[in-house]
Amino acid sequence: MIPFFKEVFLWLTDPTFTVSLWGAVLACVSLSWIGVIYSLRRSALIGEVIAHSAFPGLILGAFIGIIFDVSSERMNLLLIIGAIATAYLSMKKLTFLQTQWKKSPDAALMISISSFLGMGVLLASILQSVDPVLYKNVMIFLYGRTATMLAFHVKLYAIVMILLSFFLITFHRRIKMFEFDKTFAGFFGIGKGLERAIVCVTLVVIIISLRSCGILLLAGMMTTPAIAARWWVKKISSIFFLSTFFGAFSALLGSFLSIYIGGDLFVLPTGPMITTVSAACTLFSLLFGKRGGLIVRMYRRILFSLKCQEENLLKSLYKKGGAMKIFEVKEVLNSGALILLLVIFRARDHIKISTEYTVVLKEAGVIYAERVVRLHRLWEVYLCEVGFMKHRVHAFADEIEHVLTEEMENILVKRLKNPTHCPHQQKIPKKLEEKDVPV
Amino acid sequence: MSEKSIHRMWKTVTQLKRRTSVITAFLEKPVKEIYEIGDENVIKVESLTVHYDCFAALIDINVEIKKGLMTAIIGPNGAGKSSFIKAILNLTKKSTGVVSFFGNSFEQVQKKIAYVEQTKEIDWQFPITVEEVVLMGCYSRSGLFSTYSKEDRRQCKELIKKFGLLDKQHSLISELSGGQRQRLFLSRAYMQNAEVYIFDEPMAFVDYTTSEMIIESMKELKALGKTVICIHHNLDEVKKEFDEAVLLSHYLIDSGPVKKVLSKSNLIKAFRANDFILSEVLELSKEMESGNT
Repeated sequence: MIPFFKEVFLWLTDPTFTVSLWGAVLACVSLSWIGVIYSLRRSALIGEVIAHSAFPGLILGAFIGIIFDVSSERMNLLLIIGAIATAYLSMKKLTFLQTQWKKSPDAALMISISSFLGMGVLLASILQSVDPVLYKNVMIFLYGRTATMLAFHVKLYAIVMILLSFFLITFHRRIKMFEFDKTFAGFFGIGKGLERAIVCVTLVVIIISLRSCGILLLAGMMTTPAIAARWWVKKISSIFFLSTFFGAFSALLGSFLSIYIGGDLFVLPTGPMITTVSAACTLFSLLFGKRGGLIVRMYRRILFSLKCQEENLLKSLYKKGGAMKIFEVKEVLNSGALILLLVIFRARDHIKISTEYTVVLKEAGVIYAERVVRLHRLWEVYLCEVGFMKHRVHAFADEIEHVLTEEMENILVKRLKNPTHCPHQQKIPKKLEEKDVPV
Repeated sequence: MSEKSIHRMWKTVTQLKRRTSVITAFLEKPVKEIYEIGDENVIKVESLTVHYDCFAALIDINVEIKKGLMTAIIGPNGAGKSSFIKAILNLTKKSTGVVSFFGNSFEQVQKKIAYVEQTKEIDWQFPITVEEVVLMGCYSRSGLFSTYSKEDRRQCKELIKKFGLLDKQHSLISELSGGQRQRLFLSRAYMQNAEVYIFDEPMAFVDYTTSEMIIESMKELKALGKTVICIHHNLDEVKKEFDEAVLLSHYLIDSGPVKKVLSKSNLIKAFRANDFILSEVLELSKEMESGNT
């Protein structure tokens, strides 16, 4: 384990890697913020459209550069301008398809993506024959490459991220209002201006991030942190914070693993590694997320069924006079040995196991069981009052007794005017506080 | 006469009607006059026409809505009631017509107007809490970074309590039931402290208690001197609770005091369009004109 951490430390402080590392982290964090905005709008695929339609723009920029024979720095600028131009065009086309031609969003998205990417690939094949070196440079954008990033890139990412965070902090309430209810926001003059600002910010962040994340995988980096965060927290500000964490974490771990796994033999591409890690984060959140993760839900279900079993056990112990043989208990619970053990372990405060394989009810158990019986019989009285037949209410009450809270109990007592006997003429146990008060 | 020739005839008639109405409405477009604030008319609609593609939803509407009264907008389904409200609120494009609020244009007074939209138009899975939605109402009073004052927060809590949402204050809006959603929007509109309240079918999909609550709160607004406009389907309730009514069926059939508007002849005029064959023919002509068939 220690050599592993040593390697991590070395890697974090290695000047050759820090540049690419910080580049990836900053890009991923900015992308995840944009992703949160678009996931609120339920159109997370917009990132895919922008990234894919930037491709023909890159190549067009390269052609213009070749025609005017510009220097390499200016060529980079031309590439970016071209990418922004076609990305903007594709967004316009997208809205046009949706509003004017009344196409459904998914169809419009696919038309935009495929037409622009197809055009890009065609242009790229021409570029390959014209200028193979430039072609190779442009192809970096397809999958992204963090290893060859310069300090200049990192500075650019940092500036974009800081500006974006200012934008989000200043306008967070406006963005929330606009995304939630556009009509209502329109009454306060929030509308076209904010929409344009969001589009601009999105274009800039995505085009800048193409260098490190790549056209094909960028959308994954944009959406997965936001989706993962929504499994854990419910407020928008918390979603922003958590998706920042997920974005940064997947960038760090992805960059590290891409070098660590290959070792000296080969270098894995960083972009796909980051996407894989962030997809793993999403899967983890799907399983363990606090808000309805699959495992969490299963755990809660098991806990509830154990609670029901325990209450059934206590109830039957109470009815049988406080002691039962183990095999009788097993019959009552109608379950296997493991469940039996679990239930007995759960109920350890309420029962004890004496010798001769007998389960005995403790004093605390008596109180608990009385409450369960009381709820059961109260519910029976209520059902009869509502109009159920007397012989049918027992089965319903058997299930509802586990669910009723103390508040509901009070309401029931008030409504039924504190009944003393259930419909089957059995006594309803008194509430604990009532017993203490001498009548 | 064959079925096809009937279609053709109907088509030409409707087209002619529509064109003439648009042209006349455009020619007679009145010059905007300047009214003083405190004018009895809160909203003045003049020769309003709204088109969707080649289908006319509203044709040449002239209405005045009086201050401090409850006005119901009634008419059959698809008569352009929602379009009317959306057109006066600048939410859809007007083909012709001028709408003035207190004698001013909509943009000048839009902060004084509260619009309670239909609850189905919202994404209810949006991660936002009840309290945040209600606080949106006082956005125009909020500070630089959109921070809310203590007074606003107190008022917000009071409203949440008043509309019976206190136990849901910090929960997400996805947990609300249909009636609670409508009440949430009501409390947000209250929070706006506006002069004109416009409701778009608030009684749709709500239970009896909520609809009672909505009517009560409308009356309360009226008592405060605010103007209430509401799309409503229940004519009995309109008769009982509202002061004024606007009866629409693409054209304006009548407007004014409820008793005058809800006369038998008016109602026959408005709801006759719901005749089965006529609506069928209308639908067909619409499709043929748009080139779908």
